[in-house]
Amino acid sequence: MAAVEFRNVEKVFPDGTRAIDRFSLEVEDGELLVLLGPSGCGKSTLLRLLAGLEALDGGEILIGNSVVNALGPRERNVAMVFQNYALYPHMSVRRNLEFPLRMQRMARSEIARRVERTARALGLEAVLERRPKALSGGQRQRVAMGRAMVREPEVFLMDEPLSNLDAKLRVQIRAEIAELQRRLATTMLYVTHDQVEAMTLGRRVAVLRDGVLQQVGPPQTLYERPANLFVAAFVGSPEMNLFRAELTSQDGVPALGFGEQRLPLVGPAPPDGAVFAGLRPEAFSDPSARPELPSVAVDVAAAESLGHERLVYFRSPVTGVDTEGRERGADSFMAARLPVEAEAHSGRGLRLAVDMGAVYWFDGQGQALSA
Amino acid sequence: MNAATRQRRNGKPPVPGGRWHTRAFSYLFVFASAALFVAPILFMLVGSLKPDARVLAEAGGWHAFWPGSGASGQNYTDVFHRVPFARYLVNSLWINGLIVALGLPVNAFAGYALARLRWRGRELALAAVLAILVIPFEAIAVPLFYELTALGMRDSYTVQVIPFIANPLSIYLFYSFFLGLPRELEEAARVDGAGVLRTFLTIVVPNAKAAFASVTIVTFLFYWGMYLWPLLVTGGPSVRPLPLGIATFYTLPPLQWGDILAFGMMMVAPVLVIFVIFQRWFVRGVAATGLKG
Repeated sequence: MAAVEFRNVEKVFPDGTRAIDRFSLEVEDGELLVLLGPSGCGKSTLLRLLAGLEALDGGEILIGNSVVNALGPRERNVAMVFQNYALYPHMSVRRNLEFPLRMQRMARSEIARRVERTARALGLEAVLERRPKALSGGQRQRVAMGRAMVREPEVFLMDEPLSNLDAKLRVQIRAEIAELQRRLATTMLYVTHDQVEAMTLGRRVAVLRDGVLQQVGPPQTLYERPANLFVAAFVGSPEMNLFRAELTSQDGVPALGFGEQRLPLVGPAPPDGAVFAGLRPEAFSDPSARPELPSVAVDVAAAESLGHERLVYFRSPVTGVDTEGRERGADSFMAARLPVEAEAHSGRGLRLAVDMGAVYWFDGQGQALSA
Repeated sequence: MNAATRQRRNGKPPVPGGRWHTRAFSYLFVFASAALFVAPILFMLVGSLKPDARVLAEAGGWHAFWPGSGASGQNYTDVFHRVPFARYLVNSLWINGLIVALGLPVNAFAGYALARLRWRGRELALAAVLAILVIPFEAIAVPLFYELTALGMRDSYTVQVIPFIANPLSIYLFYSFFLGLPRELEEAARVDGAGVLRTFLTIVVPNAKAAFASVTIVTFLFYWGMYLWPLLVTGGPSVRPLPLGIATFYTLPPLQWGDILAFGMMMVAPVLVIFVIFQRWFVRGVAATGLKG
């Protein structure tokens, strides 16, 4: 087990793409940290840099207080689970598990002991003599996990290990990974683009975009106090409704324009410099349930029942913006999360109460402002 | 029969233009192509069983493919009496075996280095391999002859093997195949603690059987029929391969076509056997190395 630290890490690909830009982050010994971001944001590159599969162009990487920049993959004592598992197809499960130990020239008796123990822990005893192609997706995933575990490395690296599994299996294995990490108490860096995975697995989540760290913190903090428009939109599903803030007043009370309508602002005044505003889908509710809140009339474009809740999409009466603050155009939609019994039908009107205490404010650069 | 009837009979919607026409034409084309390739071998086989006088007399018609009465193995016996066939065969097997056995590791390593390792001059080396691929051997045969003569290698197995160990076509076949292997396998091995050589030997090679099989066949087939180079660098039957053996019949009057066909039959038999055995791997290997189409 060891702490991991990235210090001003930089990576530029041969075509000039700056994949990682002055990235600094500390991962505590025994921590499970999730690197979250969209495809191409550099999260897998960070993992590969840490594993020694890519060379740094700047900065330092430390494992257990030692700079490992010049060390090859085998000297770093890290184990990696790849997205496609990368099981050796010509070897049985047993040989796959033995491989990293054989590379260490470990005694045969110790190899056998560790393989048996790992197979037992992951429920792989019955398939030890099978080749990977004869395994199910879940079993392959477990073998990949086992090959990483059997080495007892200082750091586990997981590169989107669940993305090839079906939704049900993903939930199951996700829980297994979390339990395993708690039991082994080994430092783990887990890369995913799936925010549900990130929110449920990580004690801390680091959000990346274009190779730049956007925010790092506990999942709830990212959700409740996003640092900028990008994190606000990326964390949460459906994403936060972002729009250009039209600050006005109604009967002398400061208000937020919502198309033709006005929503009086309650509580602290909007911070100075607020250019954009954001409302999570759950900031909307049924006016009959929250009669104390101001309400607005919207035209429902679509309503989806998820069994336990209803997601209602309506044409945005305000100017919706993307994570760059660019206007989305006339066809932007907003989402509201309502109880499943809420009456909402596409093509019909609906009144929604708006919790004005739940408005997020952002400046012109998209950085969050505290109210 | 209208379209509706056809649909009722076979349970499938009718294919515009009629499916049986297409299939019949396909089969016809395949059989015609196969006949084109099989006919010379059949001619050789049948001719090798006939008395010498009938070989040329019946060459012009369908009789060429029918042994008729009087078929025997006499021509095969004659071959062994007239030329040291066994010596030629052993020479050919030895020379080709060495070229293949030494060439596989050399060319596989080279292909891997070009496909996966990053080193200064890699692009230049790859371009050189591709350039050499298009230079016919005949163009360099004479300078090569002088070079190896100066080194005192004439009239030996060595001189027939060394120039052909490193082969640009084999390197290119391996290079293409290795490019197609999932890179994660090698990266996983490196993270698991294997060095470059260990990764190559324990992970890459076992997953490249198809490439090894196709390179083996291509190399073996190519050099089995090699004529010019052994003719230049060898002087007597002690180290000469089969293609030079068959040529001796033209200098041993009387010209016996039955003997020549029997020799030819015995010469292609090992190649056919090897090809039939490795055919499955060969097809897979050629497909995997990206040569298909």
